[in-house]
Amino acid sequence: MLTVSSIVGGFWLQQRFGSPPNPYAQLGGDFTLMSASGPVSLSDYRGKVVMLFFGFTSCPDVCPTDLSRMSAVFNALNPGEVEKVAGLFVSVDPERDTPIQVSEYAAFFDKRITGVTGSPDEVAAVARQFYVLYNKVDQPNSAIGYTIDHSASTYLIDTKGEVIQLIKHDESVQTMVQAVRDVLAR
Amino acid sequence: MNRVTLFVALITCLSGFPALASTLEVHAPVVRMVPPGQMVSAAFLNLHNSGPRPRSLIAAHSDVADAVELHNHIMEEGMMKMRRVDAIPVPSYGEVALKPSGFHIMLIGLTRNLKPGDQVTIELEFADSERLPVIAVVKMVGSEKDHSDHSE
Repeated sequence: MLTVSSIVGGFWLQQRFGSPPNPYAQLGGDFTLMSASGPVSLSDYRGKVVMLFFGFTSCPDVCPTDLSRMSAVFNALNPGEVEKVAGLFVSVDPERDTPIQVSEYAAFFDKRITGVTGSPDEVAAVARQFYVLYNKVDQPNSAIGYTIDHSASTYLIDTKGEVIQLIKHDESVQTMVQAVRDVLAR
Repeated sequence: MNRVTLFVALITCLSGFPALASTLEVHAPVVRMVPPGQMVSAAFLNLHNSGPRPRSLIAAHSDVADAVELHNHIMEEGMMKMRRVDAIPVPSYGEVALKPSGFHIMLIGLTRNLKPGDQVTIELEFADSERLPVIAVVKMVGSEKDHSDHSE
């Protein structure tokens, strides 16, 4: 896990690519997972800026916070901008979350957010593509049973499917709105 | 210290608990609205301590969930980690915010579906055995839907 963390820390990227114009150029790529209404691929959203977040539906606080922020971003954009922006929520808890549950959960926060998941292997593959960390941790001292520690950044993906920016969990709605507009203007 | 001050101090000591109770105030208590069928939610509030002694929130109780626990979030190894805590300190003449991504009251195993505007009674328990009842309102937290008109 530590090795993967240092990769995300940028060490590996820096060493391998020096100072590339887009430090996230090697992250991401297309994937296909399942929503309540069938398969969804990242490439379905070509021409749109995608806000991509990884979490799970029994996530008590972090995921609601980030999905609510995504909703607030949609609300802050003007109608012309909203048409060119999509929200995607990937569950990294395929043991508990079905595609229907994930889709309903995401839509509860905002109908413009699509919730998807897949088999444990498919989800793990997508997480690797994006260097998303997640780790199931038993909580013996809590009635919650187990929780999933997970990366909490939102990926901003441009109209060509490239990761442009990672928005940290504690960034404000305003910062994220501006970042989305910057990517739209590219 | 003159005799009158001493007398007042003595009375204050004897009346003990009411004096303590008045030093804690709760502001903006809310319970996070979650999708129907969701088994967990969280309560957030600001705890203000106007007294000279640091206080310690050690438990919370409510019939809205099977288990009510105090939790915190930490960012570690690039991941958000939620962990149970034994206590949440409330500094003297200060306050602590229970808020998204920080300290919060976990409601695990919700006993009913929450609806926006519902009132949930939560009792806060402090280390000195003071108990403080709080009525929290269920609402969407963080989406700022009500403020969308104020955006540029």
